[in-house]
Amino acid sequence: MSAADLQAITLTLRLAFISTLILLALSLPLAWWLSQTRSRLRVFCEALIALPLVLPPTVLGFYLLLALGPNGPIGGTLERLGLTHLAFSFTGLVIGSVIYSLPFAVQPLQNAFAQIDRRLLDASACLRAKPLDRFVSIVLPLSKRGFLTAAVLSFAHTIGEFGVVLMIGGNIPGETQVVSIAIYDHVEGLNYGAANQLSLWLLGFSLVVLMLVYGFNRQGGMLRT
Amino acid sequence: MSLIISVAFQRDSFALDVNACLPTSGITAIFGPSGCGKTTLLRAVAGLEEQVSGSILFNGDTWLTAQSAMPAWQRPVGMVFQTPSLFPHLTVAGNLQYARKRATQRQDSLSVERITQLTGIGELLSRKPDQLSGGQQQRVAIARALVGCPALLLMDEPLANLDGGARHELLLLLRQIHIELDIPILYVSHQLDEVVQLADHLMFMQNGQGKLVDGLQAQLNSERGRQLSGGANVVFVQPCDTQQITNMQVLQVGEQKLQIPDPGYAVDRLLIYANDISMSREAWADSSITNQLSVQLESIEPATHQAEVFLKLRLGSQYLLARITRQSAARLQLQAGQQLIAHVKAVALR
Repeated sequence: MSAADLQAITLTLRLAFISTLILLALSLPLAWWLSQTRSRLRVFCEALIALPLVLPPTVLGFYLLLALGPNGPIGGTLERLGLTHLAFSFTGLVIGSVIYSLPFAVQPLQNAFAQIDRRLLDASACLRAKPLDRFVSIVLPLSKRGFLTAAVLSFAHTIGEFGVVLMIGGNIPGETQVVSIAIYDHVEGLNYGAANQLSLWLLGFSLVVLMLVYGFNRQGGMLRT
Repeated sequence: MSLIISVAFQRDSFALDVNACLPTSGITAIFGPSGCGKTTLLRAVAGLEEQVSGSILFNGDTWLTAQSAMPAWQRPVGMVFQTPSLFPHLTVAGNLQYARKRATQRQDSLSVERITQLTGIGELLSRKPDQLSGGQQQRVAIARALVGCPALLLMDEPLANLDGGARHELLLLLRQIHIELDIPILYVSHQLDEVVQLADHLMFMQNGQGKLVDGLQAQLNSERGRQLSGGANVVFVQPCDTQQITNMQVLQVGEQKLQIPDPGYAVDRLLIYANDISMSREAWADSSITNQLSVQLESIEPATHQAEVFLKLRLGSQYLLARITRQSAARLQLQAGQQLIAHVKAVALR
């Protein structure tokens, strides 16, 4: 495997790892709010979060490119503050990945939260547990599986991402060239051997990750944790 | 020392309106038919019903005013729900520790060791809730509420989901808690026998309304009490030391004696339904009913059914209500002030 390919793999893993962490941090409060609120805003928020599921990644990528680029509202503001815009940068990729994979993190968590028996929270409130304490001591342990599913799906989905990355990241080795782009690059250059090697690696990796998750879930089912 | 409640709440066609001063000693039962708002009231006291407005004062502390509501986690209550609501990811010991760790003041009289022993869950400590029977789960739920050292224990029909055997054992446990621990309990139930066996004070609730709290006997004998209970008497009794009969417990009401099949614990009160009392002018020598009490007829009062009357009978310092037909009353030529014999079928805890 060439040095460039290895670099693409490390970059992809780094992107997936950082995106997953941000996604989980973002999705915990968001999913909790969605699972508890009676606000009319809920439907709108749910639809907004689910958009990446139906939109072609190019649409999302296109608007992100405009927003993060030197003339966009975000990129332009950064430029005026003496910073650099975010198009074709790793940070831009992270932002794109987070938005693109948001439904995969929010929905499993929201489902897990919605299934928690309200009476358990009432019981813990009557045992003098404060709201945050209730969340940490009751809600989180009981939605362990939803949490794991959210993490793995976010991670895997970021690794498998192509369209958004291509639009806002381009193809800069070491900065924005992820595995999926590198494969596309090899195919364009008719370098099928290299494309095959990277593809096989991605295939194997994804299979192993998913098997680990399903294995864990099955074991959990038997031990009823 | 009291719990002063003045709350209102409206949801769809249901309206809750309770103004009452409840004593904070012993067991105060809130009794009424299903759907009368008992549970909502209890949840309001616990701080779990956010939409309830009014005021709640507990021993001088303000829990609810028009301006502010103390959140549930700040109120020194313990709550036992109809369903045990144990934390499924923790063991029994874990559930107890959860409560103990968060207790604001830890009393030695409510230590985990003592409560574990009292509730008889010592064998279960390492188990997870889903490995327990319904009765065991409710025991743990009671223990969990107790080790949190509440100043007031709230119980919302804790026996409603249990079958006969488990229910009986839990009822005995509650009596024991009442006797051994000095914790005021608000006990919500629609089962008359539970209330009668446990309560010191009683409040009736109907259609979301609840006002008067009084002693158990006085409430049962009141007009409303007769309506809701269908005429039930509680008679407080003492054990009789001078006489012993195999398999029976001999009890005393004043100078008079009663006997019941030994239920296996020291009986201090009996439940006697007004229908289970029959009257005669003289004592019967040959009757299967062994319990014959000499009573004085205080008054004859109308019953819900037109063909029946309630007889208010004085039994020492206590009162008994008997329900008989008008026809029988006429045949016996009953008049206030008469000395009569009441033949009773008394039951203890079942």
